[in-house]
Amino acid sequence: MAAKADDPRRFLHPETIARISRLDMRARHVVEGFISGMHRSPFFGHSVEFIQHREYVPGDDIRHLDWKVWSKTDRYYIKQFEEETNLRCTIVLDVSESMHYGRGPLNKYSYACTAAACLAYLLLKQQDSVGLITFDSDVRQVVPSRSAITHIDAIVKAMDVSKPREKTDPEKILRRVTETISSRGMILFVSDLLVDRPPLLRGLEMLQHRRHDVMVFHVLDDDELVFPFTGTTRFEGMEELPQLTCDPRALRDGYLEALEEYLVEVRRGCVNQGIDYSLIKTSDYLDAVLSKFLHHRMAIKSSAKARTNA
Amino acid sequence: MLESFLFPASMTAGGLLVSSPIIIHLINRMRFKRVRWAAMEFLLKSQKRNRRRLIIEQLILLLLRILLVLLIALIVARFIGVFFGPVQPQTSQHLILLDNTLSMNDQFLENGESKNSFKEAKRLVVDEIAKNAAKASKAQQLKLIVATEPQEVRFDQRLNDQSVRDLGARLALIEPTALHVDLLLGVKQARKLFESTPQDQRVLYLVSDFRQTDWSGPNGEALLAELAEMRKADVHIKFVDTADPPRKADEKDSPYHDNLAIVGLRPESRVTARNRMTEFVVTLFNYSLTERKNVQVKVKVNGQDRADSSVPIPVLRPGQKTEARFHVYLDQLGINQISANIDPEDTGLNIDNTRYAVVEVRERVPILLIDGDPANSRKEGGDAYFLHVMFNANRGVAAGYDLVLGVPADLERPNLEQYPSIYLANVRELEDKRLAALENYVRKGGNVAFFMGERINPEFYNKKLYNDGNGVFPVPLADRATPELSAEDKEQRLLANLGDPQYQMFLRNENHAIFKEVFPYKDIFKFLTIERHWPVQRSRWKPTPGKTEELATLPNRQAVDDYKDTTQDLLTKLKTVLEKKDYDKYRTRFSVYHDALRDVLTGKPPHRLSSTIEAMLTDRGQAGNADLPNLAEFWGQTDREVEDLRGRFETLRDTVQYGDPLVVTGTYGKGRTIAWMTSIGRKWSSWAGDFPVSATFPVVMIELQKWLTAGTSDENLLVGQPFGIQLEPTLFEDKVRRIYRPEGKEKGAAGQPEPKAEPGTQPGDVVSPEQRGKVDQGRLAFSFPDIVKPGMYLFEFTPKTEETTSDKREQVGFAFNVDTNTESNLLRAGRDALVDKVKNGEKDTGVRFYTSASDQFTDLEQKQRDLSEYPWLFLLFLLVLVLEQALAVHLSFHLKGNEAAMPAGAMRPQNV
Repeated sequence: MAAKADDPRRFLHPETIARISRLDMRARHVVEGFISGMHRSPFFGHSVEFIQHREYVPGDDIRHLDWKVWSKTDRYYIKQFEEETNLRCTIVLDVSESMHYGRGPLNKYSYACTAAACLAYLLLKQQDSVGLITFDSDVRQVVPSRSAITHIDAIVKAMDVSKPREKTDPEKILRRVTETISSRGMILFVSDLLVDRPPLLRGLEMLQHRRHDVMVFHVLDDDELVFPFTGTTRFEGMEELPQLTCDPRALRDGYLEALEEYLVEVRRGCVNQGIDYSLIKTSDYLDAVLSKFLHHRMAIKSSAKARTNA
Repeated sequence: MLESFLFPASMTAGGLLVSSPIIIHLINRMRFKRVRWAAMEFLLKSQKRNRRRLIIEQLILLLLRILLVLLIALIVARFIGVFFGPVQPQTSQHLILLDNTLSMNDQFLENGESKNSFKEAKRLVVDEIAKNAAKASKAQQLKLIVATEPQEVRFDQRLNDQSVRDLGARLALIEPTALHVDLLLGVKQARKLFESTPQDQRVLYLVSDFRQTDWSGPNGEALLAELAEMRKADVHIKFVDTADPPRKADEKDSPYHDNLAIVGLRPESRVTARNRMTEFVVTLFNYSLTERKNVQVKVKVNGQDRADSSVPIPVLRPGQKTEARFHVYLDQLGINQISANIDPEDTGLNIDNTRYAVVEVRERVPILLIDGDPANSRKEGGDAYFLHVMFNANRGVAAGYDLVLGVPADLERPNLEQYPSIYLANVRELEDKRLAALENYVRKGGNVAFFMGERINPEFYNKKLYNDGNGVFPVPLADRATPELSAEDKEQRLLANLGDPQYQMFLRNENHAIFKEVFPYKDIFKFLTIERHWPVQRSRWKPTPGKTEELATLPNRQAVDDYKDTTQDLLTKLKTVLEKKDYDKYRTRFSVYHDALRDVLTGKPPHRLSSTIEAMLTDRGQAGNADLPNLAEFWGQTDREVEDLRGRFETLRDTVQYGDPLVVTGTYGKGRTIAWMTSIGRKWSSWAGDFPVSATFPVVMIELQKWLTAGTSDENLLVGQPFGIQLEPTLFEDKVRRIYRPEGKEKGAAGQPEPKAEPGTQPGDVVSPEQRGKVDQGRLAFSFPDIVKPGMYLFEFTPKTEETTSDKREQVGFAFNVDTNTESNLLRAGRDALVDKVKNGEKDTGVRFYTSASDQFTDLEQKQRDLSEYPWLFLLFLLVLVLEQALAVHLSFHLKGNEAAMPAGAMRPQNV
């Protein structure tokens, strides 16, 4: 999938992104590139923008009557606007040791950070407020939500971590995240999810219970999905897992099977709780994350609109 | 375990290599990449799930690889199999018993090239037996012995290319001999040689031409029995037939080459006088199935052709002996070599186309005469007077003889052998010592003639000389001689004979050499007068065919009355027989004879009785005349009564006709004897002195002398048979020189001086080193076991003399001939008979029969079949290889192309 010179998406290629060292630059680059690459996007605009006129029916808020139309036509029309949102988005980013695996241009950690920065930038650009919580064995950094575009700097800084540690109990960590975020908002959970599933799902459930809008970005390296190793290899477990010397080809089928079970379990767990789940490979273009996010937003909006209309 | 492999070293290496897959596996385990891995959970899970399967699969792969190495090792090391029985012998002992006897000279033409059975045998030994045996994978030891000298192992090496070449070189030096040897000796030696290696596989090859004579009869049975014994001792017996034409499979009677052989050459005497025609009898045998015609027997004397003596033989009937006579004029003093030759044949044996004889030619042949009355011997009226006159006249037929008058004491003299014959005339008796000397002399080939006379002591002659048939004298004597005739009796006999001359002596065998010459003139013996003789006790004696023979018989002097009753009885019987209706026609004629016989019985001389009976028995009548029927026809009837009657008439005729024997011959040991029952001089008989009978006397005497000496000249000395000479130690020194004188010696080219010969030898002679003998029972004995070439051999002795330095030497000569009886008949033994007898009804015994033209020798290879010869081993190898590859591919989880299989859950949803 070679990026052509006139293809605006060329900037979204992980290899290209990897060449940009500064994360905020990356985010800007990615988001600008992303937006400019979208033509006539129906999602463009913000919450105070006018959408359409509709005939008044009894029960409508008369404040939304367009009097100018009434004056001209003598009919009552409701002037409809995008619902103004005051979105608080918190990005929960996994910076544990396992995120540091990766053989491609970006490891999972870099990829997750880039994706998080991009999302943050995109949100900030939409003048939503964005906060960041990083965690490994415990919550590491907490950046409160701000909507100023300059907030991106703080977020990017917080992503940096010197000594990654292993994850412990995801439930505990997610409880703390729940406690940290007081008001209802959107939570973007970016992690490789290489933890025990029941506590993870319980933690996610907890977030869901708090009426947060949870979105899971499951970042995995291609190696982890394909397991392309050959020859006798000693796999040294990250995060204090035991090591194993084996012929990887012999175990590949079993590995892929176990991985499939895991992915199904995770996906099913998320879907059961209404959590939006996306599996992201580190070789995927970054716009995948963004487009998934925007799809999600649109889904929320339409559901909110449906609720509103109802 | 390792004995299961032809190349155990390869198997050892293979065994070590078996560990290589394990080692490679272990090395691979030690060389690994390190990966820090986050998703250990799935890996561990996978490992936990697949652990058992993986271990099993890996183990199977490992095993397959080990199996591959093992199979390669098996193929290279050539696994022969595991033996659960007794340990298979590691070495094979091949023993070739090569027949090199006379019959192996049997020659034939193949593609224009002259070959013989022995050449073929050598070819088979090298090209077929040795080369094929050398192909075997185990150690092959090959020994070779030849039939004539089985004790000497001619070749003993382990077989390889070099030693096969050695064998060829060694065989090139071996030629067939002229000997006959029983193969049994070789087989026994082979058995002895095998005894030292009982643990090895033993194979005996009998490379021979398998002639019927060698394999039948008691010798053949013994040979087959010995082979059967060896076979029982697990020796493989291989008959290799080299004779031409090669036997075909399932051929019962194999064809064989025709062969014509001279089986005998006999001079009239071993010792003959110079310038006399000496007669030889040559005997040929046609060993073929077809008649041979116009065979010329050529004669050589001392290597010189004697065309005048050669004799043609018009017809030689198949399977029969044919005799021919020829005369040779011998003018060279000393020992002469005479050979009879027939032209060489294209096929068959040529070595038996020549036969040798040795005749010693002297100026005169000495005869020792021992006279009972030596003082009067030479005087007229003396017993031996006429012998002296005749032999010493040295003229005519009697020329060349030297009658030496001796006394009984001369018998004790040691050089008795110099006399070919001894005459004892009217010798009363002999002292025991002299008798023993005489007996010894005759036993060893001397000849003696006894002439009777008034001095004879019958007791001595009967007890010592006759000795119940075991002595040197052929007949027992009556107690006394016939009484002297009175003058009246003499006159009466003479008158009676003048009126009706009757035979005074009957010759009983017209073909006997002594009387053959005079037989046509036998009527002359009607005028012979024999007044007295020594009767023979006929009750105690009858001629024994082959030992004693009655040559001449005196007439019966009994009165005819003695036979009256018997004759009457027979006539009565005849009458009864003639009453049968079938014999009607003979009756009238028989009545004539009946009357004649009855007439004879009325006091006529007995010879009338016998002649009448003879006439009756032989009357052939007149054809067409019914009055004169053929009586011989009647006597020839198969009627038992007639046969019986005829027998009795014949007996009566003989009894009446024949009186006492006059001349009886006998044999004793190798010598011949003759008993002359009346005096040799004129005392008792008129034969020597009275005309006309005396005209036959010298002829009969010379023939008698010739006959006597001819016996020993027939001495059949065969090459290869033990031969010895015994001498008086007091007379000869203990040394002997043997000289072989080849007949057709090549004369040196013209101008080239002949090499100087030693005294007593001639150029071309093969002189053996001087040999010493040993004294045995008072005799000096020399033995010559190694006479192998046919021809003449001279033995030279040194007589002891008073002078210490004496160059005088004495030579005796003997002719050695090939054993035609056992070797010349090329009839071949039946293949199945041999094999079956050795197998003795058992199966799979290792007994095989090979012929020269077949390619079946390849089964001698004894190549042990090993696994690498079986295709299924390679199939198995291939199968294992395929399995291993399949499993390896399976276990390597090859990915198709560059596509990485993604788990379904990893598929990202399509966007945009």
